[in-house]
Amino acid sequence: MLKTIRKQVADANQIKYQPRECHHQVECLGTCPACEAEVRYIQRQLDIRRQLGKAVTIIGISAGLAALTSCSDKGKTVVEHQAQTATLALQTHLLVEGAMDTETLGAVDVIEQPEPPVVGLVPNEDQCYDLVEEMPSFPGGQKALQAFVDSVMRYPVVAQEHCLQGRVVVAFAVEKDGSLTDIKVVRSVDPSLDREALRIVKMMPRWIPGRQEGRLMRVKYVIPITFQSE
Amino acid sequence: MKVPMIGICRHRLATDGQGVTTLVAFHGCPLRCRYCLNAQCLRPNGVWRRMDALDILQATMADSLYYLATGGGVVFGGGEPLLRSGEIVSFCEMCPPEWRIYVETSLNVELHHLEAVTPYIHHYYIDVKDMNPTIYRRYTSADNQRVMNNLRWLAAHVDLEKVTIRLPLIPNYNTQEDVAESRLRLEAMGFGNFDHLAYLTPDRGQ
Repeated sequence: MLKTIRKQVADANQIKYQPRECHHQVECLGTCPACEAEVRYIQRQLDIRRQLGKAVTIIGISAGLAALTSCSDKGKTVVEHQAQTATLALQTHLLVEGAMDTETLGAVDVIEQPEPPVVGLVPNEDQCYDLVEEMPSFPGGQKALQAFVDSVMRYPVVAQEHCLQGRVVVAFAVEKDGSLTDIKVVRSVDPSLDREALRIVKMMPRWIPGRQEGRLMRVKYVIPITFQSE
Repeated sequence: MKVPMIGICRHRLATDGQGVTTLVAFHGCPLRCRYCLNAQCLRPNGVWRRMDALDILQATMADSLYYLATGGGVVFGGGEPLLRSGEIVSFCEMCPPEWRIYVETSLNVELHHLEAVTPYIHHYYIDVKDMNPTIYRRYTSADNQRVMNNLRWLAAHVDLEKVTIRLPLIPNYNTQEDVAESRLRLEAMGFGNFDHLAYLTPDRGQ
């Protein structure tokens, strides 16, 4: 199902993409390195189109898949219940890593199905992770990051004139050498503030890269940059 | 502030919310349900990791494409997610505005938690257990007066199409008649979307 969504988004934006057959050693629920790489490829292509001023179409492209079912027939751990139209309030909680508690599950029937993926646990040096044991950090820590932002921020005149303020959220990848790539705004306030937020991030020195099991990893990161007019 | 979590589950399909969703499950709950499925949310050693709103955003950002394409988003559960209303609000103020936000709650929290998150929630899944205070207390070891008050507040402040009430049939604790009575009381408050379900008691090999 996730492949179908990726294909629909790609097709709607004229992105060349053919889902590859997954050869992940264990059953893939959409978070194997190959699948994640495909998502990143499509996101990069969308970013390029945005940078070129082209319209991109994502919102609701796959909303027609309302009767979404898992891409895996073997699904996840679910709790069976009698009412077909109902969903047990806590059934999804069983999907959480380490959530199974056999003692307290004594009162419900459980259908065994594979565990779902949990973000960023298996080291793979080619992958861009969401969470690793040691997350990347700005040299000097959070206070130094804030001091850097304050020192280089130039509040756009147009934003000041219109009393525009808010928090722009910027996402990027921290490479193994600490450089920042794939920098983009994920929560916009105003084009002028967005541009300034991007400029600030692009000016940043190299970060301390993330690590998993001691190995350098490429890690995704997001930071909010707050603009407050005085 | 970093708060304890019991886990994050990505790529859920058509479970509590439309499209592709990610369950973000918090540690901690005011209830002690006899058939709790996530007892680790109560145990000190049940913490998976501690995260703040930014950490949660990091963890969910990878699936933004799926959320946008399917009208999906993030489901806050637990434990009782509304105990972490501050983190939920911070998250919602940072995440892409197109993401849909869902919450699975017992509503057994102080009203200010509910008031804080209300502007950001697209749909509520409320497990009321049973509206009968005696049954509720037997099953959860807690009082349901706050639940009642919060339901009334919700009915007065929120489009009730955004609310689904879960009414479980709980073996040894309530009956079909009790469930029907609960539903009547909820309908009188204005609620119209119900999820009827039954906890199944295993054979236990007997």
